[in-house]
Amino acid sequence: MASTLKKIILKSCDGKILEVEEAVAVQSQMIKNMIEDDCANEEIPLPDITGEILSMIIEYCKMHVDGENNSNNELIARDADFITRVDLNTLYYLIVAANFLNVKSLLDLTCQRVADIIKGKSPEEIRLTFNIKNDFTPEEEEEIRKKNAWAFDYKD
Amino acid sequence: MYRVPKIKVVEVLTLSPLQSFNLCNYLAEDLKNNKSRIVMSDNRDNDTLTSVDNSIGRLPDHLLIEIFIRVPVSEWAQISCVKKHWASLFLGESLWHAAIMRTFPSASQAKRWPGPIPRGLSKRRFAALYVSKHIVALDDEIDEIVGHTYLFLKEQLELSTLPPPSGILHGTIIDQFISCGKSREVAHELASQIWLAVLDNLEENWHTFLVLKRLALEEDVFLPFPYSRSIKVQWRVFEKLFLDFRDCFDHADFYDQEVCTLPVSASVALRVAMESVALNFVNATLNWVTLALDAPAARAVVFGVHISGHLFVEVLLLVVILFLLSQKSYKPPKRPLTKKEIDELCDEWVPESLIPPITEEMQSEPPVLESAAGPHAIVNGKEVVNFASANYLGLIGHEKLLDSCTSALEKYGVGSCGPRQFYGTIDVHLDCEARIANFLGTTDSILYSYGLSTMFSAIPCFCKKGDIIVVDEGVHWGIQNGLYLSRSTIVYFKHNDMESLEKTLEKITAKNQRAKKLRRYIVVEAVYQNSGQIAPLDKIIKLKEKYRFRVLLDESNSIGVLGHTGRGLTEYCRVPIEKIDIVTASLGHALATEGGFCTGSARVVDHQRLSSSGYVFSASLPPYLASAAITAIDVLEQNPDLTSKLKENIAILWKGLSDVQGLSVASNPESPIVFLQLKKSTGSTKGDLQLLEDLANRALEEESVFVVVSRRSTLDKCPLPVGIRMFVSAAHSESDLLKACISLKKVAAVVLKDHIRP
Repeated sequence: MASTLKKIILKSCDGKILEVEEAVAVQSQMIKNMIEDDCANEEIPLPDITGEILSMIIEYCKMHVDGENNSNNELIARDADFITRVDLNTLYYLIVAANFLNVKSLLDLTCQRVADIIKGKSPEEIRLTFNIKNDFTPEEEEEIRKKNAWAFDYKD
Repeated sequence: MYRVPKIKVVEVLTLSPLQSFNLCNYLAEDLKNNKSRIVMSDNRDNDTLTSVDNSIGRLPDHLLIEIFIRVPVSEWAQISCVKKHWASLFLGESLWHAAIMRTFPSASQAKRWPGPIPRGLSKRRFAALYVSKHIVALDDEIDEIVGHTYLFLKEQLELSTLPPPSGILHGTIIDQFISCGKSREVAHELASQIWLAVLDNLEENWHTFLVLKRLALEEDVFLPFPYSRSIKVQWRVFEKLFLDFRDCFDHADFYDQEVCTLPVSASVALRVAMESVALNFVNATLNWVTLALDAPAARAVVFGVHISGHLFVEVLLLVVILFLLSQKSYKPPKRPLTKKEIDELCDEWVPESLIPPITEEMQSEPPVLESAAGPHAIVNGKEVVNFASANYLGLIGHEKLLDSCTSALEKYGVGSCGPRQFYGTIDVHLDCEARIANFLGTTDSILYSYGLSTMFSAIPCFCKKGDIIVVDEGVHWGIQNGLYLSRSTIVYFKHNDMESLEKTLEKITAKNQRAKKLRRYIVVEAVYQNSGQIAPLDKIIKLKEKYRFRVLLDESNSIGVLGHTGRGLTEYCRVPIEKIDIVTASLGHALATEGGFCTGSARVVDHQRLSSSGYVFSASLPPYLASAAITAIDVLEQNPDLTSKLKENIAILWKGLSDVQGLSVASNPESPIVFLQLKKSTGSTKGDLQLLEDLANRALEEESVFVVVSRRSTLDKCPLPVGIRMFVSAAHSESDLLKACISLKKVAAVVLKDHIRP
């Protein structure tokens, strides 16, 4: 790998082309694999990822590459800042994209965010939040709840 | 256009299970994405118009899982209620697998283990790990097996309607830990902690109450160390019962519990107090005691009218305790011995002698025969008339016996080199057994290799511990030893005294009702070797039938001697041989070979073939001896005059010796053993023996008549007086007998001179 300044060209599904430094691009395990396999010399088409999402991801990756030298706490604070700005719909696309590009830390961050949203909500609230249709009868719901009840309550 | 990201083959091979799992999901997901992309491209406009908030619900399974496992476990029940699809995720393996990977990364390396408690699927593993971390916290170390054990125990107690005894559960747990390589101490400690944790976390319901009650009422079985349940656990059971569940007891229950657990809980309390007096234990004790005291007081209504049974039990216990307290206990000095004391003790100690001290009279040198033991033998180079060998029929040196021996020797060699059941059975053995049975009129007989061992194998073979044997006090040592080995209860009756026998039988059967259930035997000799008396078999049979005993008869000195044709005591007394249950005899006397046999019903004989030690464990009779025994019986049968000649000889000797000075003939006139006793004892067996031995020695040296004294071993417990024992033989000539009579009279006159006069 001659230089870290080598650019990788990414193409989103809506035709946006972004040039990314290799150091940033290899945050994605998928792109890293492609580079190693020598398939990254031309532009890499990324279906399903809109330009908007792609640029967010690149922003996130850059932040992490730049922040490598910073302390851990600072990075966490920035992550939190990054993720709270994202609305639910974007979050969905971010998760799908992070999964596709295999950016582990981003996937972790986004999933955690959804989990945080779910936390502390009743099933009805969750349904409302995510606009999910209830396909249970009340009896079924009660049964499922019983079946999955976590039997081990401990006091911290 | 669309590319699946490539992964090097090498990478795939080196992937961890987690990675390969993710990879599969990943690829599957990509395919799905690919499809959905095509669909999406068809109605993209539509898609963008859909409610924005709907999107999360559409995430692929593995991403949903990624989200769910980040939510605290306690809320998973809520999540599963949102949607059927989500609920199904909680039933699958992948969610739990991912949860383990995320929460307990170290557990992914864990290997399966041996032992009774299985690992189960991911959901169970997750639960186990969770328990191990949060409930049975052990030094921050998460040990999956601990969690599994906890789950196992809890399920057994909670779910089964009738849980197995706690000892089995505890043992299973201990075994599991030990098979996972834990030391016994660690296993025991862990098991106790798990018990405590499970007991603490049992739901408070009726089932738990029943389970606890069962645990409390279980009997305390003693088990070795790691398998014994810890005291703490037992205490916790009581604590929970009497504190958390006290309202569940009704009166009868409480009484039951109280009485049954009183000793247990008292001992537990004592042991706990000895181990460590933890405050809550004391509290529990106090609570329990007050509870125990309150209840009975409430029910004792009026004195003498309505007092419950348990008050009596309590008073009784109190009395016992007071009695025990009043006893003085022995306390050995606690001080250790000083070195000097130890040395002194060592010096003082004299080991008990292995053999009794040898006195002068024990040291005698018996005369040694230098020829065959026929009617005439050579002792010290001098020919003597032999009355010391039980050669009743004079078969020693008989031509036919010698021929039979020689041909058997040439055919079979000397020994048989093996017990009967292990290739030591030779055709002559079977022939001999058949011949004996045929001769005596029984169904079968069994051969022993040694005359003496016949009795002390056959008796223990039938008589066992607890059985009763009534036996004549004069029986010879072989029978004595058999009785000793049988470990039965032995009762002696007076020598050859039928009144004494009847009294003894009467006493045993009348006094002891249990005796009817025991096996009962009468053991007698046909001709007593120690006295020359003949047992009155007809009377014995009557008594046996009256009192329902079995009879064991030793015919060693009567086979070939008594009866017209030498068939022994049964023929002599005209008693059918079927009336005798067991007949034993030695082949070494009248039949002039060696070995012994036992005869009776086929069942009696067959039983011995597997149960008689002398038969089972010793090499079988040398074939030539069996062959000689057959021939001896043939000779006896073909020459009925042998027995009549013997009878004549006996009569001659008996008559000739009846007027010896100082001696009297104590034997039966028809017994081949003529037994001379001192008319007047010196007062001690030792003195008698000395006199008689002088007499015998003189007879041998001066008169060339070889007679012996009935000198007995120190082991022999026979209480009969000693005497001179003469074995009459059919081969003795009349002159031999007369010579013996004259010589003995002469010698007796000299030796007993001083003894008779005062």
